[in-house]
Amino acid sequence: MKTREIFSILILMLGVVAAVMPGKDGDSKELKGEEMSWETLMESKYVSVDELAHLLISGDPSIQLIDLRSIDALEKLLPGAINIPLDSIYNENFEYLFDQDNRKNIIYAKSDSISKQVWMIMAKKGYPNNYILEGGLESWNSKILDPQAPGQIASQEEIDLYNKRLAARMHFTGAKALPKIEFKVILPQGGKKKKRVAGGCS
Amino acid sequence: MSHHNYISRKTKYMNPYIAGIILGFVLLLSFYLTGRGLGASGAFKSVVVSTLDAVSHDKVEASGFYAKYIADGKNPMKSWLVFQVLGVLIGGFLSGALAGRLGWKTEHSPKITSTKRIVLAVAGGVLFGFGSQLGRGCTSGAALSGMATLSVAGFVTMIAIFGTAYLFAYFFRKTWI
Amino acid sequence: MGPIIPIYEISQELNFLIAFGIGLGFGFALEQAGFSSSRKLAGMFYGYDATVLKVFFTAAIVALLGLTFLNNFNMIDMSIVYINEFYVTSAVLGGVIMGLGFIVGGFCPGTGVCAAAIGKIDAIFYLMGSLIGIFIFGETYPFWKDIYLNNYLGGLKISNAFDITDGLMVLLIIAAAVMMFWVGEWAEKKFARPDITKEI
Repeated sequence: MKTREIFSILILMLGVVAAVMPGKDGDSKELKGEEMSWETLMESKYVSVDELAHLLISGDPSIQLIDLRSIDALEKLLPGAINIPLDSIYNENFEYLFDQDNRKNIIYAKSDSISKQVWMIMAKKGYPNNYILEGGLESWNSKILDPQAPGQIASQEEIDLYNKRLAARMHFTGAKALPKIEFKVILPQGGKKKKRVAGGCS
Repeated sequence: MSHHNYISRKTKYMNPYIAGIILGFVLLLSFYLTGRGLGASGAFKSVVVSTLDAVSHDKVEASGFYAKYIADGKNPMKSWLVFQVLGVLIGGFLSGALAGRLGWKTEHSPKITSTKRIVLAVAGGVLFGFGSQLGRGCTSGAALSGMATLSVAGFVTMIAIFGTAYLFAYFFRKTWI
Repeated sequence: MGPIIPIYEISQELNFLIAFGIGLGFGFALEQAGFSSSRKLAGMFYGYDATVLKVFFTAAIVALLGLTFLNNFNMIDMSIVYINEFYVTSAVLGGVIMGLGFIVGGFCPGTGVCAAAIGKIDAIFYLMGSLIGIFIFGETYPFWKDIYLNNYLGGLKISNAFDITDGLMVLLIIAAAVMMFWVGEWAEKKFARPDITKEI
C-alpha cells in the first residue's frame, strides 16, 4: 500500500477514537451562549458622568481612572487618572492594571466608542474589573463642566441634578478650592494567577 | 514519485508524510513543553526591534508597537522564538549537509533571470513580513500552530494565505514554471 | 502534567536550550521535506508538487491528535496552552498579504530560514525583505492600529464556532485532510512537470 493510504487509514481511526472520547468540561467553554451576552454584560459596566463626579468628589479610593487618549491629544487628565494610550494597552507595563481585582477601572477617552472596544478586549481576556465612562469626556465636559440649566418646566429631579452638577463643576474647575484628591496606584496583590502562555509570532 | 531526483540520488527528499509526522511531533513537543507552538516571524521582529533600539532607544520606547519588546530593560533578542529560529537554521543546515544539498544557488524558472528572481524574493519578503505582523504570525505561528489548537484564527489565516497564493499563482507562473 | 515550562518555572537558560532543540527538529523536518526549495513549495500552487499540503496537514493533524489525547488523559492543561487570538479583520487581511508574499517570494519565514541555511541566495534576500516588511509595519503602525484591533473575538476555537465537541471537530478535519491528500496526489500526476521535479 502507498504511504498515503496507510497514513490516511491510521489517522482516520485515531480521529474516530478522538471523536468518541469524552473530552473535558473546559474544552468548549469559550463560547456556549456566553458570546451573545457580552453586549449585555457591557451595558452593566457603564458608569455615568454623574456617578463618576460623585465618586471623585467623595474621594472613593476603590476606583482607578484610565485615560486612553494618545499623548499628543492629551489636554488634562481627570483627577487621579493614569494615561494608557490605546496603542499601549498590550504593553506588559500596563496590562496588569487592567487585570486586577482590587479596584474598579473606569476607562475613558474622548467619546466612549474606543473605551467599548478596549473593554471588550479586556473582558474576553477574562479581566473583570473594568468599567466604561458613558459618553466619555465629551459627556463629562458638557454635563459636568458646563451643565445646562433646566428649563422653566423642569421637574424637581432635574433641578436637583443640575444643582449637583453645578457643585461638581465648582469642585472640578476649582471655583472653590477644595482639597485635591490624591490617588495612589495600589499594585495587585495575591498569589500568582494561572495565566495562558503568551504565544504566537508576536 | 515526484520527490525523487532521477539524476543523482543525492537530493532525494524524505517521504512527505513521514516528514510531516516528525514535524507534527516536534510541534506537539513544543506544546507539551512550553504551552505554545512553533514560530518564525516573531524572531525577525526581535531583530528589527533590537536594531531600531540600538539606533534610537527613545523612539522605540515611544512606539505603541515596539515598546512592549523592550519594556523593563528586556533584550528583544533574548526571546524564545529567537533561539528556536537559530535552531531552525542549524537544523536545516544539518539536514542539508546530510542529504548533500549544501551550495550557493538561486532557484527560479528558466524563463526569468536570477536578478529578477532576487528582486521578486525581496518583494515577497516585504509583503510576507508586513502581513505576518498584521496577521499576528506567519505560516508557522499563526496557521500551523493555530490549527493544532483548533483556533479559528489559525484556520482563517491558513485559508487566507493559501487561497490568495492560489488566486495569484497564474500571474506569477513565469517565476516558477 | 504539561505544559512543563510554564507550570514548573524552569530557568531561562534551560528554556532557551529547549527552544533551540525544538528549532533543530523543526528545521531538520522542514529541510528533509524539501521546504528549502522555493520551486518545490511553489509546486503546490501549480499542482506539480503537493508536498506542502501533505507535510503541513500531516503535521497539524499529528499535533492536533496528540493534544486531544494528552488533554483527555489529563497530561496537559489546555487552559494555559496558547490559543491564537482571533482578530477577524487583521487575520484575513494579514493572511491575504502573506499569501501574495508567498507566491511572489516563494517562501514563508520558516522555510526561508531553512533554505538560507543550505545556501539558497534567493532565500537570504527573501529574509532581508521580510525584515524590511516588519520594519514598514512597525513604522506605519498608528495607521493600521484600528484594523489591527478591529473585530476581536478572543481565543475562539473552531469547535465552538460550529458548536460541536473537540473530538468530532478533529475527526472532521482529518476526513477533510485525507480527501485533500488524495486530490494532491491526483494533481501531482495530472499536472506533472518532470522537467521541474527532476531539477529541484
